Amino acid sequence: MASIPPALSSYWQNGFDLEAHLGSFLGLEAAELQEKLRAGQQQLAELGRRDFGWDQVEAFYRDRVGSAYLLDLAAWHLSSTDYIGDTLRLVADQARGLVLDFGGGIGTHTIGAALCPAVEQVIFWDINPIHRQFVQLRAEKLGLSERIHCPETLPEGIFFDTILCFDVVEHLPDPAVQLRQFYAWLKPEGKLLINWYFFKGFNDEFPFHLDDPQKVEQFFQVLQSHFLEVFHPYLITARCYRKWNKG
Amino acid sequence: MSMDASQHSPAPLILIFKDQLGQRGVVLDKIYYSVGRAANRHIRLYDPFVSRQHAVIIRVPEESQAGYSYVIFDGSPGSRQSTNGLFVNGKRVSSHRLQLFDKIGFGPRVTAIVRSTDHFSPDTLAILLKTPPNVPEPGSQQDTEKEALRENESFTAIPCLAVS
Repeated sequence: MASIPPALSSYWQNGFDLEAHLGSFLGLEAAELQEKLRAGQQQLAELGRRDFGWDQVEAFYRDRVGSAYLLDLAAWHLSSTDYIGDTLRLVADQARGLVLDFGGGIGTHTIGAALCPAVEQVIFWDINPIHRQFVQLRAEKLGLSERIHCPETLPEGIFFDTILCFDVVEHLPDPAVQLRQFYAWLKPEGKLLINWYFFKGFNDEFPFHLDDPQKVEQFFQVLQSHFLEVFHPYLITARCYRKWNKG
Repeated sequence: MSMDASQHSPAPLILIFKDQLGQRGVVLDKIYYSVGRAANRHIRLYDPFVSRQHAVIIRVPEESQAGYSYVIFDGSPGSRQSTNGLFVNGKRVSSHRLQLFDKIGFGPRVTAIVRSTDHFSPDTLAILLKTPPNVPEPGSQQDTEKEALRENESFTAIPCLAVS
């Protein structure tokens, strides 16, 4: 087990005080919050079955999910400390300078990055206004409001040293397009910390995930023609490669 | 034409504000500034058309890694836009990387010009950086104007500086 980065140790203690922040933001007592956290995933799934469609994916995540997605994400983060902890170790090793957390959700990686000594500022961007307000509240409560910024629109004309994009691209209708955008936003030696899961689950646990083979192929074509993989020792996974005859 | 502030100016930038208190400067040397009408803002502006939290300014590393530049965002950190808008060179923006000679508008009446500190003599800088008196947060426009006029009696405005 890799050691815990000292600057981020509070994640392993209490998820950067996530439950207290949620209670404060939603105006819920502890018991009520626990009940909402238990129900959050089911509530989001029901909403998705009713309202989700790839032709209106932005509107779904921006306008329709409300606080249900916040609770769903929070429940997942609280129950996935090992997995998310490893992504934070990667952030501690690689993030520096000006950081963009793209689709940052409940702000775990934004907070983690802002606590890293090599990071100057973090721009948190999420299409959901509730997430932006929540992460700003978290930044204030953690004394990080001078390092974390949650604008409604992404600033133009600035380039990032690091882009974080965890558990996001499978929710996008065309991940290859987003990847090209990341390439344009990065400084010449900038780094992209990203993961993906183009799979709806063995039992349809992730009905919102993109799994269109053509879109996935386009994603990997952009990824493997624009970015060079940097080895790291966390979340080691086996990969499958097909010989790619570009001609 | 605007110049890239960081590439052409190793000296710190100064924002020269003009509001109801007159003209004054703020040298940009910190990582973060909140700007607005409320008393607890890092840069407090005196005008009823300015929101309590009107904008934030953050320092970001340059692409070349050789220095820093500053980016200004409209509104509060939690994404609420200012009521009367943030303008750069006459165009409403939600964010902008500051460049030399930019004219920033905070609502319809308050402006700031981006300059380099090495443009000014030490004496002029000292006048620009004189701390304004702390006045109560503005209420009605009429009250504000009275307050501003009252405070102007003890504040050194320097309208003759060529900063616009």
